[in-house]
Amino acid sequence: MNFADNSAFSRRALLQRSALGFGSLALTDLMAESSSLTVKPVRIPAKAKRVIFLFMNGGPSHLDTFDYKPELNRRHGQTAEFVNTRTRVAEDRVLLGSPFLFAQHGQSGAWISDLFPNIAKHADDLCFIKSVHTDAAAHGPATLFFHTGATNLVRPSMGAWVTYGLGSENRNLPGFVSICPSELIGGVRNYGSAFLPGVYAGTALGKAERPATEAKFLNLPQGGISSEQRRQFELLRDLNRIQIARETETDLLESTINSFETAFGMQQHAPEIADLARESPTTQSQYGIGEKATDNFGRQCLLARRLSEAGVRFVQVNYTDNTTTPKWDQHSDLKRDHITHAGATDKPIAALLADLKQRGLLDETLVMWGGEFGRTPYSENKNGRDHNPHAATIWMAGGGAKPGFSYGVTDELGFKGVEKKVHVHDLHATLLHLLGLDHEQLTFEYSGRPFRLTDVYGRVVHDIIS
Amino acid sequence: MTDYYALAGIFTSTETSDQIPATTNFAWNEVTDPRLDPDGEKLAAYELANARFKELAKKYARARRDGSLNKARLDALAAERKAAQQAVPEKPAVLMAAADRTSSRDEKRRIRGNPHQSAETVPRGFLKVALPPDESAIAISEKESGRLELAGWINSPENPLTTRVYVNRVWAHLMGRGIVPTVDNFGTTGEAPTHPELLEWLAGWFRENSQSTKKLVALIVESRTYRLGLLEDENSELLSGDPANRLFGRRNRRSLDAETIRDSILAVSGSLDPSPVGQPFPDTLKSEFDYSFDGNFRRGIYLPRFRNNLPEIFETFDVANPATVVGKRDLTILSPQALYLMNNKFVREEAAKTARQFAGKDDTADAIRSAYLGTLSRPPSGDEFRIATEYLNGADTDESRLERWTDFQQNLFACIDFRFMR
Repeated sequence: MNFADNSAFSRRALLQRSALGFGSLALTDLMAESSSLTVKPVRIPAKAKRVIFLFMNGGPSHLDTFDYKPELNRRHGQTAEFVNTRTRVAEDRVLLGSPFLFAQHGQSGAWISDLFPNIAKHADDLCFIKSVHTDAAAHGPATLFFHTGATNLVRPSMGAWVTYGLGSENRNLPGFVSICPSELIGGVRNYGSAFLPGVYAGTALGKAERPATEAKFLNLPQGGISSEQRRQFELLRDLNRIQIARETETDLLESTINSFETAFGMQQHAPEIADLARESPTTQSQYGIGEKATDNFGRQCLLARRLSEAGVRFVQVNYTDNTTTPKWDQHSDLKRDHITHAGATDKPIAALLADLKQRGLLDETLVMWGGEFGRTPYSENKNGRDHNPHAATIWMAGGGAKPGFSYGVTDELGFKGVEKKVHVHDLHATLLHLLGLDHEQLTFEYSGRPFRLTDVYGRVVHDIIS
Repeated sequence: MTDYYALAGIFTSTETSDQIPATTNFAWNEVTDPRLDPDGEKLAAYELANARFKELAKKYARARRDGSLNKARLDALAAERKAAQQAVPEKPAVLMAAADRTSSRDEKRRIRGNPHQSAETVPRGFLKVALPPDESAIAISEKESGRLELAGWINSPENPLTTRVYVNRVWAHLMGRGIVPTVDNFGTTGEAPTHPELLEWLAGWFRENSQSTKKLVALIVESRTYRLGLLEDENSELLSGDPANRLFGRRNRRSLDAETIRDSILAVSGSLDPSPVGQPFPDTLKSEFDYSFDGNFRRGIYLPRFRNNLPEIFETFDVANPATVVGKRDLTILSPQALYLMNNKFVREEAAKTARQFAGKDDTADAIRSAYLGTLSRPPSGDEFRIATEYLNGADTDESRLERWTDFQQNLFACIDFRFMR
């Protein structure tokens, strides 16, 4: 049995306000089922209101995308000693130059490889962090670390922390959504709430390896609400009112009745948010919808924009699959497969940036692109690269991140950060800061002590904030 | 901190494997599994034969690849390989279990938890705060992991923690809050017990009554405290004097948990399969993701509990996360639960099954009474009866009548009287 902890529910007033009935939901958007999701004030001036996290699972190679290393190309085929990223044993390895051509783009002169011709057009919107390092060298722990700040313990996802800290802008939608997440490599834990209340858990829309056309809300039928179901909701409200009239200490029961009012609102409005057919053919084709290579991720990105625009705090857009060697994990045939993955994502991501900008949303929406780690400058299986927890490039756009800027430097071969290193904990601290949340103050009491997204670490990288 | 590394030494010296020979019969129903392997001999024979087969298979594959043998010799090798394959006996039963490693060792303390910075060695041991007066009684032999001694220490009558924690959980489960409200934390950062003498008495009683959970449950549910009702009068001092009901002066309202909601719906619709657990899923199941709970109408406690694949109703209604320790489940009231009850196929289908029992009846009044009694264990009030009649009589065809009955029955599953017990 579950029990009411009477001290935790004290929302009698809410019922009185929402007792107006289902027709008045537009007026009661911000006072629904529980106070947990009401918009909360922030302590730090917020630059960003919401986040779109483009998660590139597998570990895209920084050396072949955004971290140009001419020295590595010069020494292609030569041998150098490295401490293996996994075994931590020193050994001689053969260097692999990048098979891609780099050029400078925009006023900022950012070096970007020819893998991303469309993203490159937005070079002056991007803020690169080229010295990201992490705690794990395998996909599972590193992916969990990027999402939750812990490699193995069950901890809340950063989206859950953000929703906990800020509440939800739209009561007809969940505050945190993950689009087409993987079942493996951390699976549900990457968008779970762990010990935070379940209201902050991410809602999965679709699954990896299923077409993004299936990315819909569970238990929300398409087409909103029929007159029959409206009548059914009204009958339930009437029956519940008779039942509650006989009760004492009704806070929990009032919350329950309220949850049906919120559900009614979601059923009316949420399915249309997930309905991409409402976008013009031009917009759809800008995202690459209808083209074989880009259709799936294009849909994911367009869905992210619609959700974000409607007020969802945190949207994870997952470029992943249900394998233990996800998408960008090129231990061999790096050239061939990175071309495939860049080809699937470049156009949709560029369209997302352009679309957000054109709608005036980019300023308050933080877009973050990255994988769980970078890759090694030395080769594996002749034409691939191994995992590299010491160096990765992530970029941000909008949401208060300094545009046309690059932060942090790796060594001449790109194996490790040498200047202005940014740990994943620092990245989390900075992300929260941009949203107006102090990572040391955003705590939750669990198991006898307060917990944070950043554990006992993390520092805000003020230099990347505009 | 040293306590941590003392315990870690025990686990370092222990291995968990899914290949431990099944030497003991663990079957719940006392049926002896023919694949049992009391002395581990069958497993040894299997491994020997299997290794020989694998070696020959490798040799054959190599020879075929590099063409180092002529056809006759290759065929002979193939025949030898086949014979070896046939000689591999059926794999004896193995279990997922823990066992001592071949050698045991103490762990070193790690400076600031960094695995690469070792400090002094910490002898294997237990929590110092809960050691018996005569520590030597639980000395760990150098050659063993200490797992046996750990079990002995956990269960020692002189260790007060285990029984206190256990009876507190049972109390919390039945009463809605533990005597120590932080059921997973009895340390200095947890909450203090509201009734320390009661907790101590229950722990003692439990030890004296063969640590029987059934007896403990009976003891608590027969108590006056357990049988108290919900608050009757909101002006009562029970509310003003103790708003959070820390003193258990009245009943806390209880909501049905996920398993109970599901089982109750199935019981009402007549779909529930009450048979106890047999094989929870087929041997051929490759991955937890391949398992579907659709059409499995066994009781919730008999469903397989996969870490990454829970029935949707369990995920929706606060079931304990199987990947972590949960002494007490969360209670949430969320709109996804409402959406589940109003739109999920499972609820709709079971409501339709139930509705078919009533929709055809000529006497609507009698059918409404039956539906209330069957679903909420009480007859409808006058108002409820009136509203239900109006709703159900609004249908003009048999088809729409069944639809309306289904809507109505689904609402009985969704209403607060179904989800909360009085």
